[in-house]
Amino acid sequence: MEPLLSVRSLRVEATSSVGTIVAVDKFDLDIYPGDVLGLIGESGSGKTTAVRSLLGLTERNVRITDGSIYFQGEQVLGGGRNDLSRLRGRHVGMVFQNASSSLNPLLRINTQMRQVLKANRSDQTASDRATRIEEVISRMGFQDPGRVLRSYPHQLSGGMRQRAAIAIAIVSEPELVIADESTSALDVTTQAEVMALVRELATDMGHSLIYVTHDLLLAAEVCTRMAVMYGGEVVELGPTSEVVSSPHHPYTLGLLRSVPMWAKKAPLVGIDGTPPRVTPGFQGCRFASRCPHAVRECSVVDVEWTQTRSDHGSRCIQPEGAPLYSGG
Amino acid sequence: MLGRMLTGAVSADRTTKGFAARNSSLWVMGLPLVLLGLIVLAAPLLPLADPGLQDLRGRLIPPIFLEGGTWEHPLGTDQLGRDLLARIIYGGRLTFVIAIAAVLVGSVFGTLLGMIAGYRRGWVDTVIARIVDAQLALPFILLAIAIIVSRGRSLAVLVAVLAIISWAQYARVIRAEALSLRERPFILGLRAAGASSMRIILRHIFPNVGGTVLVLATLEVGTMILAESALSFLGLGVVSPDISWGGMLAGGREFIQDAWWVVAFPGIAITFVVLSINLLGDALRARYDPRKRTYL
Amino acid sequence: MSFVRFMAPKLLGAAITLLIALSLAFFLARAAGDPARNILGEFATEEQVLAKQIELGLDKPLPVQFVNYLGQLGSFDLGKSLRYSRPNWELIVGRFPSSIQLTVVAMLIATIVGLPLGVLAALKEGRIWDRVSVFVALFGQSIPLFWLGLMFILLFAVAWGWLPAGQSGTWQHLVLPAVTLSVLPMARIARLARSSLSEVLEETYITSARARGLRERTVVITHALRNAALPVVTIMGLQAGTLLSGAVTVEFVFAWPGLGTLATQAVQFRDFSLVQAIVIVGAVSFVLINLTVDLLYGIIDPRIREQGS
Repeated sequence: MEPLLSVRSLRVEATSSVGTIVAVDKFDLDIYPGDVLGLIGESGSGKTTAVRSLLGLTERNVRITDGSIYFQGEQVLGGGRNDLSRLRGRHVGMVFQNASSSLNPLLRINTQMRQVLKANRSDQTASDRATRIEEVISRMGFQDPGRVLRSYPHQLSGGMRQRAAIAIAIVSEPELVIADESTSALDVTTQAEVMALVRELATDMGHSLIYVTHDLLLAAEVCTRMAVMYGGEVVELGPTSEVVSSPHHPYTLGLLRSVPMWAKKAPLVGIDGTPPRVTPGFQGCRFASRCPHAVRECSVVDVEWTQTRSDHGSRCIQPEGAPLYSGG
Repeated sequence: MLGRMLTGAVSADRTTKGFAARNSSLWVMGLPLVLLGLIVLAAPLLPLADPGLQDLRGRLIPPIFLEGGTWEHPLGTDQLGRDLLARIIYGGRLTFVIAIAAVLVGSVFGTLLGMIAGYRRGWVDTVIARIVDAQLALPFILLAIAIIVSRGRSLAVLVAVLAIISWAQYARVIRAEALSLRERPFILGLRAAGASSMRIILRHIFPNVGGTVLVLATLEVGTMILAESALSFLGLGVVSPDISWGGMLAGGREFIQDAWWVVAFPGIAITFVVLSINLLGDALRARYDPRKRTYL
Repeated sequence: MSFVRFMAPKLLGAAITLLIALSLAFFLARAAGDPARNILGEFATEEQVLAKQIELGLDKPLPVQFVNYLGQLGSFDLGKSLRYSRPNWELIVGRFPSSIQLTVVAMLIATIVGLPLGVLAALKEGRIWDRVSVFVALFGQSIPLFWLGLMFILLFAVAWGWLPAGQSGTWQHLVLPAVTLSVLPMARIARLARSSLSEVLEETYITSARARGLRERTVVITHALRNAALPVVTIMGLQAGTLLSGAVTVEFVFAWPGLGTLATQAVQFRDFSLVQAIVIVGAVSFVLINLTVDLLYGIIDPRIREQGS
């Protein structure tokens, strides 16, 4: 199957008066139609920067310095092209981590949805747009969809705002939805409900979904595949069941062990230390300083990606060397 | 998120490498003012003409770079033949003294009321906040005129008027800071421990609003110089034989057609000093207030 | 309607502010001074001073004077001018058109120049254009306006003879005073527009608007500018409120026949009553203009509109 979105060796750097940080590096990813992928990592792992870069939505001091991106087989970044803004809204919809701050406080939900259609679907007439808005909003599980459309964001509850934000993101029928929940302000139940809704909508409409989160448990419930990020790199990628049952990368293992549900057979442990500041000259595995299995080689050589199965791989010099319940 | 990471890095850096850079920018901004302050302070020691000495035969002599100018009066003379350079330097003394005195009185009064209002909340806050609003609703020059017309003209009245004009600004800004400070855990802890209000306000709230007060007070020195010059220009502030820049402008106004320098130089002095103060204030704000709020 | 519920508390608040402001003006001007002595000058005899005090009602205890003052205000009586022997109200109304004309034109210039200056600076934050406009705005806040007016006269009237130096009548007479007066509000509008807009541009809803595929122009105009407008509208109200009566020095320099010049004339004749009346009118117009700004808030921001209900 032809991937919907292909990212190859994406590198993103952030520059400030202090110096340069490599926020995202060697980022490879393929998203297929109907895919539901979880992009998991702690804050600062580069996951949000990575997905925002896909739309060219980085902050002023953040730049894509390398890599190429293909959408539906057509190159949109690299080779002298930068058409990332063309993807926005029309092909890729984005749901932000905190709906309260991602909705314009001064515009009604209806207006915000209509703007998206006007900008991306010039083929539609005004009544087409109204019909489409009605159709989308009625699927969001609101008791009174009409009232929601007429409301300003502050008149809605947190959960309702999140649903409204989803409606805005999918109204122009993008092929890919990116939900960035990395530091969600919603309570756990609402979050799970909203995610279930996103997934349902995505699969129903044949959309693909990238779910960005720090919550491994939540991602495991919703996603079919998982990509784990650390220090700006994808360190492990595979089907959810594979990643959870036989993680290849010690970092993934560490994450799993810090989830009470999975760690019950072994003592619950956290990961010592803090993520490194990755500067352009950084050498070796980024997790080496925190890794319990690290050998001298780890902090010297640049670790290559190892594909252990056709759909499961990791960036560790001893993949499969770290079973989940070892050392317990 | 990345933005936060970076700003985190920047603010951490503020204590190490960036510190010298920041300080040097403060120095660059402050240097002209320090130099000017020294010159003005040392005025009696400098080889200047007597600023009050009239010379009716040497009236309206142009500055040195114009035809007819002499080194005896580098910036020329005014309508009474007095040396402009000497008058500007001596005039700076009174201008600074008045502005700084007004800022001291206004800032102490305004900061105290602002801290009390913000910390105590309740009716005390309501009353103070209302008075601040009311004070800000009175157009300042008109209020100054009303006070000076009924009280008469003197330096003490002038300083008092300027302080009255400015206290509300401090009270308004500091109140807002105190309001957010009082909910901070360390203040809540002190209250729970039974510390007295006055102690909390002076020992714990004040050090936390000090930076803001400093920024505001710096900027207010400029505002006060402008206000003083306006009042003196209208004949309500400093009058002869005392010298201030505003007073010099008032005197030279009638001769503007024949001798522009009498009016131009004091104005340039005011603009230069106020601009330097505002630049310094902005540099201080960048240092003490990373959010770069505008206090209006 | 919710509009009434939105405005009612604001009206009440404005009335209270005004009452306190007028009381402040009363006490600041009278509490420790002796206007009668000051009006007559230091050579007046005790009898003359006493007679003047009785004439002005200054012989009575301060609280009684205050009640009389409030009573006058309550019946919209601004008293009589000592110098012109006419009701202060008449004198003030006669100057109103000139003052309003000057204020409106100055605010228009300030907005038309200051707003784009600040907006462009925010959109180009950190670049040379930004630095230049920040410096220009800072410069505008540092110049004594009456001196700037004098310099304008020197250049445009005396040296080049393009425009009249003073008084009023034609549009040419309006140019110099209006431009001079516009400098300070222009600088403030530019600075605030810059800081407010650059803050809004960092908000998630702006990134979110871009992510929705909206054009950059739509993002800036309908999303960013509208959200940045509140503080800018506030400062415009504050500035307009001060200009209407506070343009004293600029009016004086250009001999512009507005309230400010009336005030300076009143000072020359120690017309204590007229000065007080102008202060009152100044405070009232300030409060009224800011009430209008509150109303604008409600139109711009739905969240504020609903606070009343």
